[in-house]
Amino acid sequence: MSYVSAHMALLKWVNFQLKSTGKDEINIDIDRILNKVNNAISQKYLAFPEFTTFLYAGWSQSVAVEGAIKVNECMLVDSESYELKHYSHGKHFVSYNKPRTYNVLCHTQDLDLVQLYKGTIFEPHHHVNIMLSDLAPEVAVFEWMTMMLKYIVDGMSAVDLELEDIPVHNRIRIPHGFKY
Amino acid sequence: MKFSRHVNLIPQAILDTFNYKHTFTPLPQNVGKIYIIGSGSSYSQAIYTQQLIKKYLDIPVFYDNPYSFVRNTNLTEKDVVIHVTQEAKRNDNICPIEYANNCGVHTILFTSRDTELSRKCNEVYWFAPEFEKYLLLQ
Repeated sequence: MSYVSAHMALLKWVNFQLKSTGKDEINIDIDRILNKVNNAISQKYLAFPEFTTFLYAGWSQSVAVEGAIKVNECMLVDSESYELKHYSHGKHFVSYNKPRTYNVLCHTQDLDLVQLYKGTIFEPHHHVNIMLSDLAPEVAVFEWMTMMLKYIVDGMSAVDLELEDIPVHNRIRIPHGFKY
Repeated sequence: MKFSRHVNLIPQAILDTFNYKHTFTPLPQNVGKIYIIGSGSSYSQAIYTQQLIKKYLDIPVFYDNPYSFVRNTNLTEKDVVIHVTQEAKRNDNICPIEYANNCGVHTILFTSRDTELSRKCNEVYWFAPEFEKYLLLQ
């Protein structure tokens, strides 16, 4: 589970740089983070074999991007701007009458965005997972990441799919002749 | 290992990385810009780190994919390149480091594997060595 290990290592590195320049470090309340992460693992999310959209704002962007990799075909929407930041395989966002699952990666300080989308985007037939964190935004990524990954587990379970580790081949093939 | 098992191990991964004694080095004096490079999951970590650095360190910071970075970025010798990769052996891991080295730029690698790429970087930091050993035993 290198995703979260890398996030933590990078967070510690930034904290070290702050400390070495005499600045206040980012508070890492490890017990509270672990409590939230364990709780996220125990949650069950709405997961159906239908098109997925990740809505994010600010600090949850990196988790939404990771979610896009995991579901392979989905859409990312910046909750604050109405802009489609990235999508794969077409302009599905306008097809509001189709089956959709929306995962809203959201901080409690941005709850007004959830209300906004309840009134403007979500339809009764849509499935909506509100992945809410009240941890400090700098460390909420650990809770959001766990929620998103648990959603992926539930989604695979819904279609009776289980992935195992994918081998990374030792042989490196340079795909083009570009010199750097 | 099944994916669901990976997810159940998240708390252990967080805790092991938090407790691991990293021996970090302060950034060089008068850093120009910081580029954080990654692809796939590492791209998401690059986004996160860019947000942290932008808020807390008074240094211009950017994130990019490896090939886009190599093709489109004009580096200066005061810049720093941070590359995040789990495996550290694909071509998209090698190319940003070689490009940075050719430009005389300070390089920092965050990875979980000790590969040839480690020897080409100025600084190398591991994600969570104890947890990686645990994964290999599964």
